[in-house]
Amino acid sequence: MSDYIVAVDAGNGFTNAVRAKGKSYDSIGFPSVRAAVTGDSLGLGEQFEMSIDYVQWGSFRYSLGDDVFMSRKAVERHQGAFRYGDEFWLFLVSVALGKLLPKKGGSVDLTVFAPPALFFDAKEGIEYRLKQTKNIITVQFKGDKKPRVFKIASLTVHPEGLGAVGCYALDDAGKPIVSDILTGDTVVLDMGMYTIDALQMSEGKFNPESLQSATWEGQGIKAHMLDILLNQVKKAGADFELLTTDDIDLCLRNGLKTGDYALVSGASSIDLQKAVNKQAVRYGDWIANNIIDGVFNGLRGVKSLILVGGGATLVQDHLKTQYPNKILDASQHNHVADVHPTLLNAVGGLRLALARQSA
Amino acid sequence: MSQKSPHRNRFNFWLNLDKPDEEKIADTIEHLKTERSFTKTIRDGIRLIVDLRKGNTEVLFELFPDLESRLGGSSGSSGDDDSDIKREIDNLKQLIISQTTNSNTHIMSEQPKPSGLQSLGGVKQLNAPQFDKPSYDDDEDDDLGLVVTKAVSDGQASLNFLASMNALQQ
Repeated sequence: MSDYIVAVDAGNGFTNAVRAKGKSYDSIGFPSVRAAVTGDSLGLGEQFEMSIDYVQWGSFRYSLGDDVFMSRKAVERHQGAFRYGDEFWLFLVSVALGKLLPKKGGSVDLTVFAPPALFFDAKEGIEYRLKQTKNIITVQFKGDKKPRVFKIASLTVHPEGLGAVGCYALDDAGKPIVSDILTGDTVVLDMGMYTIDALQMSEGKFNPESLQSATWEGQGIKAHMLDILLNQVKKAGADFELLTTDDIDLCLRNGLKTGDYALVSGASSIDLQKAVNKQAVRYGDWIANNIIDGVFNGLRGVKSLILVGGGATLVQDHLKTQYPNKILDASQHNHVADVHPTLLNAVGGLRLALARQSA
Repeated sequence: MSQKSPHRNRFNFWLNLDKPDEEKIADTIEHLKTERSFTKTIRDGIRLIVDLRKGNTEVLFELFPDLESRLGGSSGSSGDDDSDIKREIDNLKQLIISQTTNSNTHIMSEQPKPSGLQSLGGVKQLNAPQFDKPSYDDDEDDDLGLVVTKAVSDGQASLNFLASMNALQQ
């Protein structure tokens, strides 16, 4: 039995991680981006100088997530099919463990995720990477006297999207829910930064061979929202010409959380709300045309569509008007009502781990 | 002074486009709509059918005045002399028989030939056994007792999912 049970969804755009704590869980999240920093200080104290939290990663130092905007130097993401199990991916997972778990370290039952179409290759890559590190993950933060050490006692890799279904199928303790949520045919649509994953299940069962064709690479939020919005923003004025998709992403996340879509650069500010809403509808229509209608016959014969991921928050209202009574409403189910769409995979992974441990 | 809005009722009906006859009707409706005569055609059609079923030809001759003179009949009602009605029906039959048709409709003449062969405007009918034409009346489907209810669940879907996920790890 491990000291901790953790699920880390280290996505192309955002890393979400949860740790089991009794019948509940702790969660953290940060953009999957880092930038090189020195972490040097003039010794003036926090009142008089800017202080950056950094991660000591071997002989390199990185700021993380939205902190990259403080330096904007060597900002780094790794998106695409080849990231799973690579050094950057390991960095994200290590940071997630470090932020969620106590400094003293310990053994971890770790669950991670990969896109369905890349699942088998990604699983192999991830297992290989951890084997190389002898299943030991170390990470050091600013202020730590020594690295935090975690031993991966058990590693499970799940397909993205299906992890989220685990959230609907199981309760907080990992026990199967006896209900009609997954009855009949269900389609799961996981909309992330880089990929869209879509899978169909029948009475809770899925065909592993269908995983191969379940991922649309390059059709995530970046292609359909961020790149297009950035292009529009750059034309707005000189102050915006040097912005990147990270800036748009930050503005979007802020807007979804607070309702404030102001994008500020230099002395200028743009309200992106109208542009975001317009593009979100277009994205929803693209998904409807190419995936829902094109592959899943307009959901005829399908009982419900489960929306997962960051893209879900952007398109679900529009898709509800296109497919009334088909979008599964999480708010109607107590055990899922409080789980944000971006956390569904991670929380589902946690519940699957609990189910496995109690079996 | 404000005008009262008229009391209106709307009626819908289905056409099964998999059936050629109904597909033709759908095409005809599209054409009528371009001529802005769809609704009038529906109204006239219903009036006509109902009147004919009662044995009347009043609406028929109202809509097709030429037909009245060609048939030489009067717009009688069910209260008229039986002989007038019979003459009108005979005239109608003759009119239809005299027209060339390319349909598969079997038309009975007053005196069927002993051989069973009928001459039909140049088309010879095969000596085939008679059978009822297929009915395209959707109203009959209402008698099939197809009632939509909520699907029944055995509650096992979550367990099935768990088993599938475990199998993936093997």
